[in-house]
Amino acid sequence: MAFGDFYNDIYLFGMNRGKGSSASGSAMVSLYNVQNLMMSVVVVLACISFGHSSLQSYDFDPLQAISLLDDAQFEPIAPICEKLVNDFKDALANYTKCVIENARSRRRCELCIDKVIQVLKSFRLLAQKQNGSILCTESYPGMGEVMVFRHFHEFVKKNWANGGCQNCFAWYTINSTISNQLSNTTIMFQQLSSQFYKCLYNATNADDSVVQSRDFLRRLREVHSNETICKKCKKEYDKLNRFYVAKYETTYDKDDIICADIADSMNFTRYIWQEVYHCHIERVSVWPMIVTSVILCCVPVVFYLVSKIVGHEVEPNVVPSKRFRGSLGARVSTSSSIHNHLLT
Amino acid sequence: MSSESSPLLGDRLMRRRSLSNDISIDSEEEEGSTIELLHGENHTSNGNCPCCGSQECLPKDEARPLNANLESLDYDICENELFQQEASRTTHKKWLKKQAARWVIMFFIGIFTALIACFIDVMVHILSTSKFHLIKSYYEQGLQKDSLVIPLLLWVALNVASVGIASILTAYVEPVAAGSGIPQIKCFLNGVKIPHVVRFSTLVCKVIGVTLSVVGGLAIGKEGPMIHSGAVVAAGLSQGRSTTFGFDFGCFQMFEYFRMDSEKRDFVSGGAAAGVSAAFGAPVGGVLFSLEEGASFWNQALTWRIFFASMVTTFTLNMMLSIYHKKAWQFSYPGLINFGKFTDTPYYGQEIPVYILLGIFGGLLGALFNYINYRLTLFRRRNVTTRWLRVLEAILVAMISAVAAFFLIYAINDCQPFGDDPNENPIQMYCLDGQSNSMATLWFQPPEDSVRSLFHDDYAIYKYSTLIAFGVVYFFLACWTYGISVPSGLFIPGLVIGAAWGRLVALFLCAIFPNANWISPGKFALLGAAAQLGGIVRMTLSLTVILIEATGNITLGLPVMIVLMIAKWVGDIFTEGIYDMHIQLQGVPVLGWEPPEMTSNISARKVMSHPVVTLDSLSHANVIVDILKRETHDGFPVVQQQTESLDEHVSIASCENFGTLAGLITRSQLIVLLRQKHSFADGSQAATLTSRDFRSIYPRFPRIESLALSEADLRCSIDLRPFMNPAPYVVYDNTSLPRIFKLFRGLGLRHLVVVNRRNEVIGIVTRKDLARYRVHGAHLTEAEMSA
Repeated sequence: MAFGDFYNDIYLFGMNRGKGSSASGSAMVSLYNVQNLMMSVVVVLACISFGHSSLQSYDFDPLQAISLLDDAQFEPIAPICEKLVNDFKDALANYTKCVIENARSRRRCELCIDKVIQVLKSFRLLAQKQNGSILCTESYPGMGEVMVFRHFHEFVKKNWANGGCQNCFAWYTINSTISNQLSNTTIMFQQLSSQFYKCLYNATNADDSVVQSRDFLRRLREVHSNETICKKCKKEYDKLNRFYVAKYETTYDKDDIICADIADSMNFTRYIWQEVYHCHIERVSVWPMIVTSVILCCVPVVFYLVSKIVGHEVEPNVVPSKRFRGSLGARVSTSSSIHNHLLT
Repeated sequence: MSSESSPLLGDRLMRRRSLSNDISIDSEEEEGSTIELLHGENHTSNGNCPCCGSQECLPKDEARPLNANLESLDYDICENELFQQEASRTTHKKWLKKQAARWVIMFFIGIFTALIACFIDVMVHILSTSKFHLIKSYYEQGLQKDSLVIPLLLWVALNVASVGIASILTAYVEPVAAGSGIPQIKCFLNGVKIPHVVRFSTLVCKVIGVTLSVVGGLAIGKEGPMIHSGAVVAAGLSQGRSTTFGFDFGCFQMFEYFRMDSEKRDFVSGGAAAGVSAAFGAPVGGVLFSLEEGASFWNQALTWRIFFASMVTTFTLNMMLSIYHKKAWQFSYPGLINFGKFTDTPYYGQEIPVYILLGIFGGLLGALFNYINYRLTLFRRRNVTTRWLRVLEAILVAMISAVAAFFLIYAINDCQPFGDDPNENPIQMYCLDGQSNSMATLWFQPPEDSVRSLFHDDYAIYKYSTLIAFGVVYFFLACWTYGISVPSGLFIPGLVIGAAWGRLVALFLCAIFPNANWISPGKFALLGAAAQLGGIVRMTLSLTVILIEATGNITLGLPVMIVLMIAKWVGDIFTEGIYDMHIQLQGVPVLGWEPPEMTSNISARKVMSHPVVTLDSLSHANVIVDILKRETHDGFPVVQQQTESLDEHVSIASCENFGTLAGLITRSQLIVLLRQKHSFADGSQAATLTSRDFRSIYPRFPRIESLALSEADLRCSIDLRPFMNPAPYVVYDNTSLPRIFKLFRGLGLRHLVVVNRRNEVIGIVTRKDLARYRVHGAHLTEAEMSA
């Protein structure tokens, strides 16, 4: 649970993140999964060894059997494999470190992109055959551990994608090496964003020292003067906001997870704009609208009143059924009537 | 006049006239007074009663008379000589061809219904998205410019224009296209011919009308009209012609077989099922809908064909929509299922009491809805009578719908972050950036999408105030809207209202049990929706299955069934279902599932119409013309010429009889005979007429007045024997009402001749004679007839 709390802390403005926040949730889940998985690996290993011993209990001493297993029936690990596994291990550690260290940063994806590429590359090497024959993952006894490599690799990929970093970049594969650069949308967003901040700095006369200081927000508040800023930078802000809304908040395509850097940065921008400077839309005057509404609402009332007065009550025009005539016929003695008729 | 040429017939005619003379029904004025007298007597307990004066009278249900102008459909096949001749020529190969033709037609019914549904879906989506986009841009401008009057007026104008066109189409072109069409289809399947209900022009009005009225922002759905459209498609395709457009594919023999009421009905039930299937993506629900609404004629082979049509519809519609959504051939695309899939909605046994409460609440609200709509409909029938008034009313409703939505969006500032399935045109109003006004989310999309939002949006998206205000306003809007002169479905408004209060219940429960993990707003919204809709329409089996299919969730089948069942029971205490209510208001003589209770002691003598207008097997053309002009009846028993003396008859039966039954002939057959100038006394020319002649002018037979007959024609006499149904269904005069009812409904009859022990006609039972018995409160009542 501590991990979850920590994750919540990371997102200062988690509420506004929309898609991003759900993504962080799933990343958290997959971390848990890995923990569970490792636990289960241990259990499975224990079970396997126990199973072996019980099978052979009549012929061998179980302890002897296990020690036989221990005594290197496999070939020694090739040096190249040892190196590759170490590389993978380091890359993994670097990535984890990077993600956690930059959890509060609005440039998390940008900062950790190298690390993630390192993980992917090192795994690819590890999974390849070395010198045409050695497959390093096979040097590690038991399927379990191989799965661990693979699971860590999957985890990093998922964490990267679900954390919303995948879509910050455009990916290329040239000569089977992965390379990347910021995607067009990200570049566009960054341009708009920097325009806004330029305006903001100009308007507040804030310099880099202010922006980079730890109590940035407090300092901003000190130098702020609402109205001028709201008026001056409205154009830039609206541009940025509209771009963001159109791109991320009103599209139906759920596969497209928003870039976390962009989401965080936008949340921060909105926070500054709306909570620090209180640049809201002015409430419009309400009376013209109410008067119009009331007038419009009166029309149906008039309509129904008039139709009530003018409308004429149409009584259901009841027609006699044949049945009744028949009954009358029956009552006036049928035979006599016929006689009467015949007589006349 | 006739007495000279045919003494016996003339005698009977005169006899009847003499009865009239005796009770002096000569002028209208006197006729009125006689009826009054009769009424007065009927209310007294010991007064003489209809037919042979033997039984006590029932109280009259004067408020809801049956419409005497409506005609029945005849699902009975007339097995006359012509039919026999044709049957004898039928080979196995021909029979196979006919069977194959049935499947082919069902296939095309499925395809065309789906295409229509697709057209409506896509048009509604395109038009309403652009409408909301336009309004949204004006909204934003308005917020900048300090005035929201322009977006308000724009919204009103767009609604009014759209609904105006729809209602002009409906009011001036085909008034029968108004409303959901489900009552009309119900009547059709039950066996009542509602004029114009399956015409092509009705279909056009319905499709265009419903598209425009949904786009016009009314609180309606397109589902009911979809069902009607499917039925019209089926009726049209199975007949292979349209009288409106004057084309006829009768040259293909395929269609020719099916030009009779019973075949047409089978196809129409398939079309209705296809309509449901297209509307909700619920093929099984569609089949069950047809079963529930027209179960009297059910058979297994037909069921299978109907299911085939429904599946074809679902398949075609999915295909078309997947192409439209640019996910071609991906049938699992979630956008295709109407209400979105429910996943991960567990429920526990302990919740069932809560569902029962939901059902009760739904039943109560449904009854209230129906009651208000009933009063409103009565008012409309009295006061909003002319066409332009109806159009005006529709326009006003459209206007107020816009004003109400606008006002709510302004008044309730419920700001929420964008969900996973955001509205395409979110309105921010005074919300912070990154949030939208959730009231606007509900209004700024077609109502069907609102249902989806209420079902699937996150827990916190809608606040109490939003749900309450939205639910209440929508309730009254929907109630007001149903019955105006535009095509309008009730399913979606019912679901929207229910989903709103269902969600509200979930919020309340959450406040009470903060740690309960079983409270999911989507689940409660679904069940609330089911309860509300069940409370309004009182459908059971088919609605359960439709909801299960439309949400793709079989797990919630039990709760859905429970709430629907309870809602129906509770609602039935107070009012009828809204469809039945409208059917009754229109005076349609519909026969229910079961005969009315407490009627076992009513015999055919009391039920039947009496006296009967009969024809002799050899009749003069002028007699027939005279009778057809004078009487409005459709079926005329053909009797053998009598040899016994009249007195004997009267004394034995103690009830007037009209001769020994020989057969039954219908007005349409007589008109065809007269039209073909088939006036041959010896009957030797019968072979020149075939069954095809009778089928070819089905279903619109000319009126008797429109036939041009010369004096010479009129003097001829016609032998009716080859054309009449020689073996009509008959009952003895002491048969009980429930027995007649079951026979009548089960076989889809139009006329049932009542005979005495000597096979002498003493009366005739038609649909209206049966439908007039109604249980009103705890009493059995008798409905009046109105013209």
